[in-house]
Amino acid sequence: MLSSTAEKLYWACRYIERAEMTSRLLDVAYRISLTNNKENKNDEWESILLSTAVKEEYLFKNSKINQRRVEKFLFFEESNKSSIKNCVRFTRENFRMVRNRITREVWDVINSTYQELQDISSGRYKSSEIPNLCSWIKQKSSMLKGAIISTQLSSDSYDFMNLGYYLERADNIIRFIDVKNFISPINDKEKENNDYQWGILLRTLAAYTQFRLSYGVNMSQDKIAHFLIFNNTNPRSLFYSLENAKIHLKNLSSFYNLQSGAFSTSRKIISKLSDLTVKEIFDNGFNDFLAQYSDDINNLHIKIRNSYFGGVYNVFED
Amino acid sequence: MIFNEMINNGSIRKPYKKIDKWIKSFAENSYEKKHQEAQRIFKRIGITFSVYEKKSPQERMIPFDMVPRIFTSNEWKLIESGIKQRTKALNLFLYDVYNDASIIKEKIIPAELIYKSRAFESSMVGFSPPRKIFSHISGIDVVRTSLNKFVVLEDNCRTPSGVSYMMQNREIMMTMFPDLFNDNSIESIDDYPVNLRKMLTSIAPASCKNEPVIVVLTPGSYNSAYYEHSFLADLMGVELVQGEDLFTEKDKVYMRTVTGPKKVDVIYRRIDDNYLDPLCFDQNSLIGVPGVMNAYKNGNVTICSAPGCGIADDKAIYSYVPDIIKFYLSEKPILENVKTWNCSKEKDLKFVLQNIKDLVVKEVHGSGGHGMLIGPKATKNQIKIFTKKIKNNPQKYIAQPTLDLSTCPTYTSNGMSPRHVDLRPFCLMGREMNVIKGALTRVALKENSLIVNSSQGGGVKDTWVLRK
Repeated sequence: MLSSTAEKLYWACRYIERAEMTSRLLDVAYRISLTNNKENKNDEWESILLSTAVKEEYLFKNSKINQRRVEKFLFFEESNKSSIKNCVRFTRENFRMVRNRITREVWDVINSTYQELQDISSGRYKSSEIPNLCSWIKQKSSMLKGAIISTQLSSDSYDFMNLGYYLERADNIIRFIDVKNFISPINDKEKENNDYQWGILLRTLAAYTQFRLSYGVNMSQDKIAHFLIFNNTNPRSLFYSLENAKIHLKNLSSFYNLQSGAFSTSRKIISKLSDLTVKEIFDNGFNDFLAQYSDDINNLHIKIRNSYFGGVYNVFED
Repeated sequence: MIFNEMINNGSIRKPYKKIDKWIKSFAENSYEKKHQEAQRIFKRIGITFSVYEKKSPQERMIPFDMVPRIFTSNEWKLIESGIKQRTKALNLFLYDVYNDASIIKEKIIPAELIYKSRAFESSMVGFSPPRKIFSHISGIDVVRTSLNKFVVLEDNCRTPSGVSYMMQNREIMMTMFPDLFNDNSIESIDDYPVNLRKMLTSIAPASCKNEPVIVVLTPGSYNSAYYEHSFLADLMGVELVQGEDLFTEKDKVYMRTVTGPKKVDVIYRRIDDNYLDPLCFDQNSLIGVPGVMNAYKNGNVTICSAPGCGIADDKAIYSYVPDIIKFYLSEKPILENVKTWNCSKEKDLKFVLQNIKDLVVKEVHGSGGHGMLIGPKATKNQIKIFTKKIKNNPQKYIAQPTLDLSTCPTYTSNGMSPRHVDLRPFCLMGREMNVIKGALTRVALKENSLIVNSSQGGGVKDTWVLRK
């Protein structure tokens, strides 16, 4: 497979995962805004800008933070590289360039999503349509994933697509938890509010009911941290995402019969994570943990790039 | 008298009888519905071409017309043999031009017409490509002017496009109207990608001992024909590459793959000569492959079509094609040329200037329907401007009479109506020579318009060759 093909498959899936994550966030922020009676009504809109890492870009274009503008910025804004509309466009553009590697079914979903999105005007939608728009994106993203799973060959293309999905997801989980951590310092006085915010985080990660199934109705910080970081059955936990990235890197190594630097890096990250406990994470400082794993994920991305996207002989590393 | 391919002398021609019935079987509004459905399918599949508007590329669709264009097997036999003859002669001509130049020595074609042409590629002089073939894929544009007369409008020897539309037009017709294919006995065109791959395999360098590695080289996803590039790579089962995916080392071409460099043996390139190799041609080219020409000339890779092919489809050479056929094959041309005046000849120039309002004037290097004047439809001012241009640069222009292009029934906002059509059949030349039994029919959707180019509002039709 061409190096550039592998890279495009990888990025196509990173972008659609990003679009889905952003619509989840947007949906949740909208939901909070309906019930929130706090003085500063724009808190959630600021935190969503933080967790999608676009606050600076936003403030460059807008003088203040308010619902309508944030919605528009995250969903439609041309200059926001991570806006949902742009992510869908980039996914389609990357897939379009490797049409011969994807099935007709996969192409149909992304192409029709893109075409329909072109017809939705950024000026004319109503705020009340945001939940519908977000669930439409989530639906399309699921359809795309379904088409990939049920029609693509389980070969190297499939592995590169999945790598894109899982790296992007791992990266997003870290940032979401980071924001939660950042906006709500953990202390007992604010416990009620704190639980509420963890709950929101669960909703964003589509894991609210899933959490209750595994841990019961009583939320605690430890339980939630465990669920989002270590739970190996939760498809939106850090461990699950990194473990799956490792599996697909292993598949590639056996498929090409070449051990890659990326695979050994993923193994190291996973084994390091497995050795940790929730208690240790809180004892050693939650922020340090998040910063460290954010670096690790970025490093893994660079290793994947060096191993597969450069078109030079694989570097043998241990 | 304009030839209507469906209705001749007031009655429906035999090959169109079933289609006539089919058209009449549609209820009042159902044709419009089907028409919309067809456009939707095209959009969904993503068959688009890019046009540059407001400085950024926009994706457009080529309008598809559902009424097929039909040829009998005898008609097709004539077209096919004419196309083969022409392609063979043009390849002999190309080999000769870059090697012995006997056609110039014998004064059949003036030397300056060749050596001063922009399409002449001096770096190819003395080079003999595998099987001595330069132009492996030709798309010779043919128009029909009467029941028995087919005329060549222009030759395309470099990288003719449109074959993906030919295939998708068929696909869409078979999906939407399977019954039509049960009722009529139509030649299949499914073999084209297989034949293309066979052809490319057959022209691999002699040094290549294994199954050759073939790639399709595209300028990228913003190119107007990108869809076609990816479509062909897909159906042939080969890689679609851009310049940056390839590199050369020790006069061999490699592609960058996830497991390291892989040697490439045949490049079906869909980029122009000029951009192919910045070391050899335009040094500013970002889409080419530095060093690919050296690899080619050292026999380590085959480029299809060979650089320098353009000299054979140059509009200034066009009027000599009948002489070329006679010179190399000692045959009479099967398909006629359109009468052409070369403004570089003094006598012709005088005639053109006197009769400009009745003629079509074309730039020798123009394409896509741009840079031309249609005399009978031009304003006085346009004629004045063109006259001046011709006088300033006579060698840049040729002129032809306006042709009575045949018409086919076409769906319009006012119902079925005849519209002018042309025809692009595709011919492959490798170990064997092969014309696909189908073609791209382009249709001018505007009433009375003769311009069928997609960039100027032309549409396409499925093209049928009936079995005997």
